[in-house]
Amino acid sequence: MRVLLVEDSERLRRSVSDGLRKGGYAVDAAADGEEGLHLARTEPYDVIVLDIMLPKVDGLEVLRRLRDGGRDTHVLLLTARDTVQDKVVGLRSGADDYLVKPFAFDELLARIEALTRRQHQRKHPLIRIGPVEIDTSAKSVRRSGALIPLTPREYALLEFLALRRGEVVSRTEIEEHIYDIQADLMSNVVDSAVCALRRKIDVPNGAPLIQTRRGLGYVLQEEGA
Amino acid sequence: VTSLRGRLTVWLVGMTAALTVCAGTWLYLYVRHEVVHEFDIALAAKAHAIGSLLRLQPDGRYEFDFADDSMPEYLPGRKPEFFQIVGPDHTTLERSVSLAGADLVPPSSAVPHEHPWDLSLPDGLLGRAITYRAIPHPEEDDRDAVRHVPPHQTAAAPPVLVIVARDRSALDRMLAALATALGGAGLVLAAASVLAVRFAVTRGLRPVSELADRTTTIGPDTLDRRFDVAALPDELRPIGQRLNDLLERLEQGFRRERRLNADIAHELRTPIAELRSLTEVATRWPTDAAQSAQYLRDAHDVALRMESVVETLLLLARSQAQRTAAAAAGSREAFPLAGLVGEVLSAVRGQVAARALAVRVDVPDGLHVWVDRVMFRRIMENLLVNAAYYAPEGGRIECAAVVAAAGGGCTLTIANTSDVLAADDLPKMFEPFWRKDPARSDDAHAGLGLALVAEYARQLGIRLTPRLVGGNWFEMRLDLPTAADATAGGAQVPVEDHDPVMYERVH
Repeated sequence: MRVLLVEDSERLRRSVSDGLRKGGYAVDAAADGEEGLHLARTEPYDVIVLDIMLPKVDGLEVLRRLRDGGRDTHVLLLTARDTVQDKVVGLRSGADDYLVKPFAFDELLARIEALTRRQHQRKHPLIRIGPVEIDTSAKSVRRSGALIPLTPREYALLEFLALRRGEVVSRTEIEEHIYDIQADLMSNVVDSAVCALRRKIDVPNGAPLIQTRRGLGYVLQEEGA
Repeated sequence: VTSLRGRLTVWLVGMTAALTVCAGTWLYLYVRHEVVHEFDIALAAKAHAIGSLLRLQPDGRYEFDFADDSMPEYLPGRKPEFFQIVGPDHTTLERSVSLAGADLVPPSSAVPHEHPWDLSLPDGLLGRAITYRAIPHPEEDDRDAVRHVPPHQTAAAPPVLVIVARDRSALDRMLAALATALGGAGLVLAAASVLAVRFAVTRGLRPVSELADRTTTIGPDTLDRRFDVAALPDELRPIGQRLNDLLERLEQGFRRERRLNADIAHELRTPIAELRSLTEVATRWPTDAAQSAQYLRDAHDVALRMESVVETLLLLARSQAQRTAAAAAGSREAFPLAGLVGEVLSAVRGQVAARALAVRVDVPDGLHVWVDRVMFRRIMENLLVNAAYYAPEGGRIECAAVVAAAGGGCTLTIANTSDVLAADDLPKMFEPFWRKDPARSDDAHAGLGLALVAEYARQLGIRLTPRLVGGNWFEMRLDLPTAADATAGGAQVPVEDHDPVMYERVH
């Protein structure tokens, strides 16, 4: 999942970005409203975490311009403004969620997860595909009850495919949602990542969970389906 | 009685009752005097009538031409009247039948009463009597048979005394009835006056009650309410006006306090959020040593910044708490302004050089100012650091002082080129936490420096005038006392109540 963080405090921007990346998200960060608006318009983010009091362009203005431009990316407002009126204005301007500073990092993660699930019309954090069980809250994967250790990026790839189970997902889509804007993408980076993931989640001589659709992309579906 | 209504009621009812008692007593005494006087006149007429029946015979004896039937009131009966005639030798010459041989005055005793007097009648009732001194005329005299002789005159013929008495119980009953009527009326009037006074006082004090009721409804959340002064009675208008003024000041104070609290909360939220995020992310993924080290440095920076904000706030709060003329005046000293300006400018030399700013200083060498050196240095540091920080790269800073006429102090102007300030910013820039950038992304300045400058200026009696000239030249003018003014006993600047900031716009 790919997240855009628009925050003018450098220390907050750095720590939240690091935390989200370690939590399995691809994160792009912007220090002002102008840069944030540009990124939000040009990149396909799953969630945008947006401060309100931003230099150059105010966060609410960024939100309004996004919505006016037809972008329906989920937006979480992260701000020091805590009055009911502030929250009402923020939510009515098109935000999907509102979190007041200071905040618990776990709460921010949970809210981003909830927004991600909402994007894929899922309520339950657990996704079961045959013997494989993906816990989108704990960011863990088990096969027949046994924990499979995955890197954050491998987990992100599996979760992205799982949220679109049964659908063919193109390499471009995977690149756009799993890698941030600064990732050095080589031509076979997605194939390599899928290959590494298959080695961890499939059993030897068993049917692969992630199947290749030549020329189209990949599809995650139950073995034998 | 503590209520105004109660006090007024007690006083008015008391005064009404006292006036009623006085008026009733006077009326009673007046009526009694008149009635008794009429009674006495009637007695005197009767005495005169009795006396006119006396004749002096040539042989010196007195003849009394009286027929009982012609004056039946002197006959025995129910409540008879009485008369007794006493000769010059104090012997009783004649008496009414109703006396039955008794005397109104004892025989051979002087009749002391020149005025009507009260006495006990032979029948035991209380009566009233009058003594009439008469000189009977000779039998042949055609004139009135008897002539009244005033007591102080000496008559040619010896006078006789005619004493007439009659029962006065009817008179006393009438006077008692009058007293009862007056007392009753007084009581009724007193009772009625309680109600009337209470009604009148309540009605008269209604504007005061309404004012009090409206005052009780005003609280911290309703300080925007005001009294309709025009609708108040003349006596209450000054109170209403003063209350409105007080409410205005309270509302401003509360608003300022709330804004300051909100600003403090907001100002501390971001660094706290930074601290939480840094520590929680570092705790959650503790194996990344490089990241943890960076986060520790970040946390330290945040702590230093919060410390700076809190210390400046404390300085501001303490300064406001100790705001007294004596405190500021006691620590004043004379020192050269040019020296202080030079010291402060050298402290910002690095920033001036880094931003390629041109600095011009024009402060007369001999100019000594008369202020608290530590506080004034803090003012200068804030103003010059701001000038160096906010002037655009390659801009100018000027610091010039001009001595005014004798006793007028001096004017110090600190100015810099500015490409961000607008005229509307000038009234706001002394508010705590105000910053031009609403996002407050600037980590180096918390927006408390100018608030401290204004507070110190207030204590030192320095007048601050911010000006924006031509849209890109910002000036801060300081009018401050000089050492020469202090020596000459120049005008004292009020410290506690004056607003240190004046605004003027230059277009």
